[in-house]
Amino acid sequence: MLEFFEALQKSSLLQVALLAGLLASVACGVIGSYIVVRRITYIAGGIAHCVLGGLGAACYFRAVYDWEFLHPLYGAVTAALLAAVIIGVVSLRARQREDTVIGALWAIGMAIGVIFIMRIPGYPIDPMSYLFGDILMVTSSDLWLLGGLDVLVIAVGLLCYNQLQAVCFDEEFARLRGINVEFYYLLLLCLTALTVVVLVSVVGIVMVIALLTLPVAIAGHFCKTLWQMMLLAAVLSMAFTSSGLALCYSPELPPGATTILLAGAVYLLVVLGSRVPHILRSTRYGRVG
Amino acid sequence: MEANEINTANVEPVIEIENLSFAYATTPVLEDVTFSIPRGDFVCIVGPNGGGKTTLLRLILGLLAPTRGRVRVFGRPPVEVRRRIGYMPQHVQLDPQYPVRVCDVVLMGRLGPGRLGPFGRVDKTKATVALEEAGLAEYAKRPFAALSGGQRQRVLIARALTCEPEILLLDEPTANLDPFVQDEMNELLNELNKRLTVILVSHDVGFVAQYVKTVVCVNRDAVVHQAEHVTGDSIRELYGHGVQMVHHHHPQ
Repeated sequence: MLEFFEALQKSSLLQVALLAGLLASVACGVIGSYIVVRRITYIAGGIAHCVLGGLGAACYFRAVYDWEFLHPLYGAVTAALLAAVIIGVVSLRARQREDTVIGALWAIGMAIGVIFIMRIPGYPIDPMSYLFGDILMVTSSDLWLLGGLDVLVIAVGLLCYNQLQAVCFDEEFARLRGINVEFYYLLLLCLTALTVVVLVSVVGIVMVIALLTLPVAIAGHFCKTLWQMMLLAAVLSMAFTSSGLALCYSPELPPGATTILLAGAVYLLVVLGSRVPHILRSTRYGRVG
Repeated sequence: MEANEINTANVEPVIEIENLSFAYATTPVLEDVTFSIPRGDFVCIVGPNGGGKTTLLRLILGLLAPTRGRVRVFGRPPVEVRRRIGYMPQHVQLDPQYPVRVCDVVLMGRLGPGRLGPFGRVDKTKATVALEEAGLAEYAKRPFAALSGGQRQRVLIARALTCEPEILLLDEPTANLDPFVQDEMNELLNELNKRLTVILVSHDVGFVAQYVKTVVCVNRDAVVHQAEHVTGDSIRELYGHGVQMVHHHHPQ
């Protein structure tokens, strides 16, 4: 741990990684809260896995056609937004088949990604870093992109707080008040898509859902309102990504997985902690009865 | 039926339904329904489950479009004017774990198209007034999830009032409430009826008797009764013998 703080002062690599984690955490808290209360975690998972298709395609075209301008993150953003719009329109139009479509898109996105990555000539890219994240691979130029996305997501997410809250809490009532429910639902999915892209660089595609939901789930035990939930989830997420990075430094563990395990352990403790008074009461009652 | 026609002739109707039919795919739910509701009325829409009560409600709100016939609210299509209707859904339709305070729920009634950012002072005052009217002023900062069923239902009435409606439309306001809380609800609605047209859907016959002025029985078709004619024998005739099992035998 101490080595980490020493290294942090010298290594710009670590500083960038830490900053990327902190930035991602704010979007994670804000959008994660919407996703959890609206119960669309599965949709977020679908969008996350489609990101691989975009990343793979961008890397392929960049390598084959020398399109230097095509940053892999552009591919990720495009794929995520496309997936968000497709899933959103399907779930608005044909509710009963929603899960089938999400599941299919989930796998198709990954399949496209795998094919593109395997066809890249020369030395192949290791898809592991995309799947399981490698925050240490974030460069300072990535940081600007991630920061921009982050600011956009947070600004829109907070500006439309009342509308999004109304759509999440009682969609029908929101519609009757003249709110364009379809628009805000798609907006929420697009914000989710951008958040997912930011988070993929921190914990990777496979573990995005965990980072989106675990801090919010923990915060849910302590918060009365959605904005408190957002705030606490963002703080928790910052704590998890930063300490994940710190903990994995000396024993050379993968930072993404460490972060998620940490969040999972805290969540488990909170759940158990909240159950203890209940369990005690019921066992005492059991003895008396 | 006659009494109702006299009523509507004198007072401007807020809701007019003409030859309305509605079907889900090939299943007809409502057939050739015609009636109107005058301003200031206190209407109870009753009928058996699956008889089309909820469908009728959703047609009035413009959430469904008629298969045939038409619905007019304030003389206009519902979608154009539904912001002037305060709607109260059943609280069981909402996520009981949603983290939201009572005052935040009520403030949702102030939302409208094309306004972003936080609520203003006027919005908050109006929400407070509505909460007081619903008798829940001291619950404003409590989590919505921590309230009882009856309290939640009243929060949703307060939210509907915050819309400053001319019509209050309530879906089963007394469902799953104990009799004492039902009485409170009746009193509240009676009080609100002094300035609003109140329309509620209920499968509960007992609710009908007290303050309701007009009863609309819905079972594929709709028959309008003045409430004073729907006491004693006629209730029994319509619904069977003092039970909540509902049998409708509408004259053709």
